[in-house]
Amino acid sequence: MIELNKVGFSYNGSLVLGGVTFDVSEGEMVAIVGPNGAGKSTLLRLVSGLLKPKSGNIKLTFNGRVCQPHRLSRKTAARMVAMVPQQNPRNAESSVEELVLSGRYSQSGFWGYGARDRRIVHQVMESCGLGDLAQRRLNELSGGEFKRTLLARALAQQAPLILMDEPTTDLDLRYQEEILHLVKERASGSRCLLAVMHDLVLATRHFSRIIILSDGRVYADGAVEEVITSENIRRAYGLEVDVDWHRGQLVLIPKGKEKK
Amino acid sequence: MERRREQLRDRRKVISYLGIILVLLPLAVLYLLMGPTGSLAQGWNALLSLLGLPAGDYPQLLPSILAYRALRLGIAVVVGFTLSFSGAALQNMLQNPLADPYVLGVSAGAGFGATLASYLQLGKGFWGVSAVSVFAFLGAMGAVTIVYSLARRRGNTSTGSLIIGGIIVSSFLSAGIIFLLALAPLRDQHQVLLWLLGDISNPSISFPHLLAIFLVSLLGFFALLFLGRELDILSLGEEEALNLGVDVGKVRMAIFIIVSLSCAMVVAVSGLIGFVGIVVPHAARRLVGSGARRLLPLSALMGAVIILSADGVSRLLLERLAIPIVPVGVITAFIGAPYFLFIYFRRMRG
Repeated sequence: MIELNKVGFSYNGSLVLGGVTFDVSEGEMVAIVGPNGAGKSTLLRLVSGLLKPKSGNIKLTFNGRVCQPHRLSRKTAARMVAMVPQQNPRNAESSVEELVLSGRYSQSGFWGYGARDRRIVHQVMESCGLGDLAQRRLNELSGGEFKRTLLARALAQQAPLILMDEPTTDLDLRYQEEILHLVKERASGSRCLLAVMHDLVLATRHFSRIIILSDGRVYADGAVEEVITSENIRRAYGLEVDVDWHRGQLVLIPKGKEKK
Repeated sequence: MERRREQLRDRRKVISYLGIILVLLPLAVLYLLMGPTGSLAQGWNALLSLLGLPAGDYPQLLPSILAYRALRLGIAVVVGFTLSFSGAALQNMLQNPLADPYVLGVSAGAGFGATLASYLQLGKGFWGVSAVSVFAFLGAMGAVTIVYSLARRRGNTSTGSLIIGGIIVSSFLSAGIIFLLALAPLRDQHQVLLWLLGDISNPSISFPHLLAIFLVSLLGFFALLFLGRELDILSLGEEEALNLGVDVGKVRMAIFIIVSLSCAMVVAVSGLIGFVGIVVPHAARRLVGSGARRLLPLSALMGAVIILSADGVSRLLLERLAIPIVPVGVITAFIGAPYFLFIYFRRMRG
């Protein structure tokens, strides 16, 4: 599980996060939403240990071990936290299998990837529907297939915590749904999932808990219906909206702008 | 369908490796035996007798000529080998297709050292190694150390600051080279110029020295192969590498040291042979992909073939057409630059 206690971070003197506090427990799947520049990506970097908090602290507890992510060696950190990046350069010459295999780096032995690593990679690719694409080069993949490859790599890492930075960006409607279903299916169990989401509608549809981050602070944290209110959205995004639910699905209508 | 892809790719890999070895070996034999003195058969006899085996007759001078050719062959092979695997590793590590061993300041540093040595008229040098080589090696290591510490100043080394540091240090040292050249007596200018253009026609080293260079280079090669996983992951970018568990700072430093050491050793002997370190890895990558453990060995072998052929051409020009010394670096540039353009346009279209 993750515990953030009054975590603050500033970059070149300007405040990015000012006292963020929340917990995520085992098996929980949480979406972090908020306007651009709210500090969402910084938050992920802090949790994965790439950045050190300027104040407060972050604690990761897995298998009875408590640690602060920025203190870990990168190898140990990668065994605890896997990241699905928003963007990734597509190396034209490497294959799906090779990219997924790189997820095994932190778990592999001294001399290189072993038979066990390859077996896990094949299982994960199979479960992400990539079995037939193993030898495909990355630049021959569709956006959705590529995202699935990145997800497969994070799963191959076998870390108890998975972070995702806007997993649905650049994807069309079908792939957005597909990737989020896959995430829920594959990452469930004892793993925690923390995903930065841009799309509020998608976030409410697929995650049961939502954290709104704005101006480096937690504006709201809780179940979907409690958090997504017109009041919260007005304060966090600075936009008046009507929040409506249609057949259990969120509908957001910005006010003051007539539809043509 | 997918199995077929995999098979095709494997076959391509095997063919590439077999092909390059089938080219390299006969080329090396031909390089040794062909020349204005004696026929191929006589050359073969001389070779056998050099190895202490019973052989037919051959011109008296031939064995010593063969020894000279063998030395030159060794230099050509180790230079091509080293520059190419180093270039491949650096391109992957820096995620920059234009990177070669020279971007880190190796060339300018070695050039400055060599020019300084000949300006100071240091002559024969130390331990049977010419002063030019010793100074070139020291210059190369000095320059890369400066580049690395410049890049490290802001905590960790970003690829951008490494490349910019390399460019700054190189241009400063290049100015120094020109300055020293302007001061040097005319007689020495020619020799320095040949060195700067990359010339192995007048090897000033002994067989043990060559062997030492080979050992360092092979050691570097295997060390980089061992770091193959890290190299592949570094080619995804710094943040990715950190997230996957690679200690980017340490691994970069290790690769940097390995590459600088091996390249400084060869450059000190061969002078600045350009384009091989950039172009050969590109060609190899087209054949076997960018995975370090497949790419580095093929690059190394292809590099050896390229330098050996280029130097063969240089020898032919001299021996058949009586065109005096054309530095091998000039020939690689003549082949390399158009090929580079070809890759560039292909990429633009594709």
